This record gives sequence, structure tokens and C-alpha cells, in this order.
Amino acid sequence: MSKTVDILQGAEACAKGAMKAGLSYFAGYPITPSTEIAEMLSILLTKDKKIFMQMEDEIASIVSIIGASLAGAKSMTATSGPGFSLMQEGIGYACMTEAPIVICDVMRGGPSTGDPTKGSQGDVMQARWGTHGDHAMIVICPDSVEEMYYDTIKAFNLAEKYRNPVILLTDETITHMREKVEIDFNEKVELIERKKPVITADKPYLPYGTFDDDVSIIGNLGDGFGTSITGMTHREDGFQSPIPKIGEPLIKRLSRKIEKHSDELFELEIINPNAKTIIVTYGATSRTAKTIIAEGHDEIGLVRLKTLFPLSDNKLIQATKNAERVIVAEMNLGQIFMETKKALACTSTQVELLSKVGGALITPNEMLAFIQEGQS
Amino acid sequence: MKLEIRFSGSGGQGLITAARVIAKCAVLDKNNALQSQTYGSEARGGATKSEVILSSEKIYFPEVLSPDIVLVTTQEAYQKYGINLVKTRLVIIDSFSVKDFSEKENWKVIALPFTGLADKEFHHKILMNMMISGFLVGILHPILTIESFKIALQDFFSDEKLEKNRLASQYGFEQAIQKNLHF
Repeated sequence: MSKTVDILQGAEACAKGAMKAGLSYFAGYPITPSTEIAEMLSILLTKDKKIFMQMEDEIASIVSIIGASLAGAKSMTATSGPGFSLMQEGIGYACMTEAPIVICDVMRGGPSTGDPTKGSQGDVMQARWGTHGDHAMIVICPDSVEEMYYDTIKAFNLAEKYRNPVILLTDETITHMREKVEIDFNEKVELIERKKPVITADKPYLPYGTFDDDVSIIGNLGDGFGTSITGMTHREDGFQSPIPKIGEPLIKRLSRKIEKHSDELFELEIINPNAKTIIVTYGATSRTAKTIIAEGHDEIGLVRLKTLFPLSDNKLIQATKNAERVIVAEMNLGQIFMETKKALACTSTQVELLSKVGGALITPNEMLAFIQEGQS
Repeated sequence: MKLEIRFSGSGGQGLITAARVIAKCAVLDKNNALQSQTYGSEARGGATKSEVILSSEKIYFPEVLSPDIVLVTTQEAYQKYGINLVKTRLVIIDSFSVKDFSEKENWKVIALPFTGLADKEFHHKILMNMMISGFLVGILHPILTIESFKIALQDFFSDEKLEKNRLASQYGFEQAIQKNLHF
């Protein structure tokens, strides 16, 4: 198979990746800067005789994809800040019911309507903690159009594997820009499918029962298993129970099934690991760091978070162990900075914040000035 | 080689499409390209800018901070995006729409009434976008080639429209070649 060399938009790469992963149901409500993903999928899905739904709002969109997912479909939605806020209750419902879904949040300026056509990284903590109650979340963050394609496939695989919502957290810059890609669209990629229950005479159907990897094995609706789905605290058979001794192991398991894999899930791209000054960043902002390193500043290192959550303290400590200064660069007021400080609290590394909000990217000169002169 | 190019004009003039065709053309001509745009909430009207970075190396920082070449197709865009250009060496102006412009110390200005020429030659003012793009290809030749540009147009147009856009771009290309313009 040969690679296609083309110029592709981030949104197109996301849509193509979703189709490659086996997406069969998209429901969404248009919102800048995510609309191009829906637009592209409306063409690709219908051409493939699969389902594209434009819903009346984001609340309907998220519950619609949860329903489709529980019926066996690989489903996703795409949105931006205000729509992502509306989806939060549904995301919690998907955590509790263990519905594998993919939500692409294309970050724009906030809060509220903010600045729809400008980039931001302000939704990091919303992606992690937007819904209420203790829960685990997988949040992945591409920094190029090509990675958007592969990360979208990865998002579906992780959702199926862990039966949890996966947030593909991207931003206006990566989603709207078009750049050269070299992708073999016909390449065979590994696709993970959710496990299916097997019922035997001596083993009753307990979809939320005890499994080795803590991930429930739930029959798809329509497959004849008669599954009870509820957002309430539930027993192993799926029926509601208010008893604390039922609730506690359930809540702990829902977090543990992901958190125990944090070393494996927390992926990093590392450049110049022996540098004394290391930039910790993600998404569009990492392109600024890559620019200054490519221009010859090999005294500067980069630790790019390809996964934002679950965050592995161990891996972050290892990746920055040679650094005297760690500078967290992000387009918000310090959301990953706080996480990094927490992770590196037991080390003597100095953690600083290079922050920019308002819609413009951190420029290479601004990053260099911060490195050379420190916080202004 | 690294070149940063800005198209600035009005929403609806097809300048995002023009920048996309240039980016595709660059990829066909074996270079790296990155295209981005800034626009308001309006579907049409309002000053817009669309940018392309062409490079023989990998492109990371996606924004154009100070373009090498600026193409301007409305007076409003000239006022909004045509000033404070530190690195700019060439400004290409559609003098059909931009009447008030000036040379600066570091700029060379080339002004042609592209919209008027598109109307006169092809009876479609909108073809200004591909005519000015063809003109740009002529100036940047052989970094970009008109052959690749015409192939790139296939991603955007078909049938009669493709042919018209090809003719308009060829016309623009020839204008630059005849005037022996280089960057």
C-alpha cells in the first residue's frame, strides 16, 4: 500500500480517522470551530449508508450517541466549549453506564460564547472534571493534522477497550489548519472491539460483575441480553441499589479501570531529554516549542503530552528528571501547570508557567523571551 | 526555502480557496505547505485573511506573523492587514478595488486591476481569485509551477468551472511571466 501525500484539514483528518475506526453513528449540533467535522462526516457516513444525525442541541447529541453506543454502534460527537458544557451530564452518564463514546472538543476562547473563531486550551480541566462525581477520563490531544487522524482511531480503540468516554481534545488551530500529510488510508490498522458476554448455565449474566481488567462486559441492546442500564448506582446485574457497600466498589472500579493503566495510557513525545530547560506542553502550543528547537535551540527540551489524562506522575518525573527548569506553556491560565506542579512536587525542579489567553498562539519569540528572561 | 504569503480581502472573494489551491500546488511541487485563515462570524463580507506557508523544511508554527508576500483585494483589508508588515518585500494589489495604497521602503508594490481583467477577459469578476493566484505562481516560478496549480484546481472545481479557473490562472501566470517579475 502506498501513502497518500496531500494537504488535509485537521477536521477532515478527524472525520477520515473516525470512518477508519468504524464509526457508524454521529450525532451533533453545529458549533464553530468544530462544524467542519460534522460537515465532513455527513458526507462520509451517508455515502457509507451509516447514520448522521443533526440534533436539536448538544444535550440531545450526547444522549443520542450513548444510546447508539449501547446498541453496539461506534459513535461520536464533535463540539466546542459551550456545547461541551451542555454535554457534561451526558458524559457522566456514559461513565456510569460504561458506554464507549468519543467526544471531540475543539477548544475555542471562553468562558461562555467567548471567541468562536480563535483558539484556546481552556477546556483542559473541563475535559477531565466537567461532569460531577468521581470518575476517570481519557483525554488525548493531537498536535498535527496527521496525528489527528491516528488519534481519532486511537480514541475509538480506547473507548471500546475501557468502556469509557474518550475526549479527543483539540483546538481551533489544529482543526482548521491544512497541512501536508503522508497517510496510507488503506493501511490495515488495529481496531479494538468491546468484549461480548458469554452466558453459560452455571454463570448468570452479570454485566457489571467482577472481571479481571475491571471493565464490564455488557451485551449490546438488541442482542437479547436484557440489560438494565441506569445512571444510578447499580449492582452487578445492572439494577439500581442505594446500599453504600454496592456503591463504593462500583465508584472505585470505574476510576481504577483506567487509572491503573495511567503509565501505559499517558503518552509523551520527548525531544532533547537531557536539556536543563524543558518545555512541557501539548496541542498547538507544542508547535511553537518545536519551531524554536528546529531553529537550533538544542539547549531546550520538549515534553509533549500526547495524553493529558490519565496523567502519570511517574512518567512526568522521569521525563523531566534532568531539567533544572520546567516551563509549562499553555493557552489558559495554568490548568496543566497545576497538574505538573503537583506531579513534580516531590522533586527539586522549578516549575514555571508561560501562559497566554485571548486567542493568539504563543509565538516562538515570546517563548524564547520567557526562557531567556523568565516571567515578566 | 521558506515563504510566508498572506491573501487579504473580503469574505466571499474566494481567498481561502485561493490559498488552499496554492498550498496543494506546493505539495504537488514537492514542498511542505500549511494553510490557515482568520475570519469573522459573517459568511460573506468583513475583512478576511488567509495564509500559506511554503517551505522545504517541516513547518511547525502555523501562523504567519510577518508575511514575505501580501496579496490585497479590498481597501478595507489593506487598511486592516496591510500595515505594520516588518518582513514584507512584495505587495500585490488588485487596483480595481484598492485605490489608496503606497510604496514603503522595504516593499515593492505590483498593482494590476485583477477584478476588472477577470470581468473583461472571462466575464466573471470572481475569477480574480485564481487570476491573482496564477500571477503569484508566475512570480514564484519555479518554486511553484502553473502545471501543478492547474492539477490542484481539480480538488475544487470540475467541468466548465474547472476550465474557466484554469484559463484565469493561466492568464494571471502569463502576466507575471511577460512582465518578467520575480521574487
